[in-house]
Amino acid sequence: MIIRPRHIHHCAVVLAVLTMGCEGATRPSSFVIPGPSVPSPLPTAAPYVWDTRDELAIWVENPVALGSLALEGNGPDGFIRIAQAEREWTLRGPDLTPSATGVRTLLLRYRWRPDPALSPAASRTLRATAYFQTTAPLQPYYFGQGAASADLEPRDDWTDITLVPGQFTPPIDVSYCYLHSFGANRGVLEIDRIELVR
Amino acid sequence: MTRLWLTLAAAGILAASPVAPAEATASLDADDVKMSRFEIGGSASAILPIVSEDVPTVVMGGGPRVTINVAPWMGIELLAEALGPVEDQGTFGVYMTQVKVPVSRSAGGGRTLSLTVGAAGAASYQVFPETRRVRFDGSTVVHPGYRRFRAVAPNSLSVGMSGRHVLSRLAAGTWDLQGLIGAVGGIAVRASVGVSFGIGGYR
Repeated sequence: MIIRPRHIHHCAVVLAVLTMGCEGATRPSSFVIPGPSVPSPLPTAAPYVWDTRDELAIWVENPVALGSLALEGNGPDGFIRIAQAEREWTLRGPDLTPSATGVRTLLLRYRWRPDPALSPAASRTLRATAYFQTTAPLQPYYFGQGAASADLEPRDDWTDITLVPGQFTPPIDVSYCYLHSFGANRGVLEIDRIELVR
Repeated sequence: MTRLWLTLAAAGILAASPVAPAEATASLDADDVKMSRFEIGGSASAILPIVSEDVPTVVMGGGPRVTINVAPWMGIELLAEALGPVEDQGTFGVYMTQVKVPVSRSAGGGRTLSLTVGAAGAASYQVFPETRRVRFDGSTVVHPGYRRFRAVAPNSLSVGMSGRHVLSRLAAGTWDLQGLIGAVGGIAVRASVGVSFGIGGYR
């Protein structure tokens, strides 16, 4: 029996190779198929406030808006009325051209009147969330949208509330924004003003 | 994958190496059975974790095996086994690289008892389907499906005994009884039976 040095070398090569792990996969990149666009009939520029009936109509009259939405009032007194707040609703803002820079959150001026027939134990808050489509990913390989939320307390007069940013760190650059709620208990929600806070 | 191909290439080079005449016909006992330089086969196994973080459950497995007898006194064995059932999606398995050192042979060389020492690691092959999430603004986030093969570096020690019984000119039955210590099963016992086919024959 002759043991050649080459055999030992071969064994060493095989064993050395086998002590390494390997991974054979290239995870393909995720991507986003855009939803419907909402062009604005009015110029979109700072201070990014939608207050009049015509301005608020942009948030209601588009293919993305969802829910029992109606426009009430005229001119500067116009507001959005959501008569069935117990249902899911969405308000889609216009595409911002150019995009809004330095956005920190969103401000709502609202009235929220829960149904008086609700039982005393029923919840009377309404959770609303604003989603911001940013011009760049919030994090590498992250495809989420920036979100800011607030629980709206019942109010009979117009009240301003600033939504609290969630998983993003302001400021961000926004190409459009939309408001969404899964619904609350019965009641009527009215929105008089929407403003991007910068 | 490159490393996997390197592994296969190295094994091929080893198998194709010219052999000295005395080696090629080395008879274990100058009688019936000769050493087959290259054996391929398969085995079915059961792994019983004795000490592990999870509830001990017998895991069954099976897969191919390649043995390279580099000398009458030493062989290198490579085996891979798919394990199941497992809760996660995909195919999970274990691979082992071990050195076999014969410690006992029958008179004719037909039965061999070997000590085995080696290393084991886990491997997996998973298929992830495409997922889509529609957002409230009508946009859709698409995560394309993909397939992933992953083999971690050997992280378990394997020590045990292995037996081979030559059944015919080309085939031999094999068995293994080994202890595993490490990430594969914690502390576990592995038992397997299988069959090997010697390239060039055993007789």
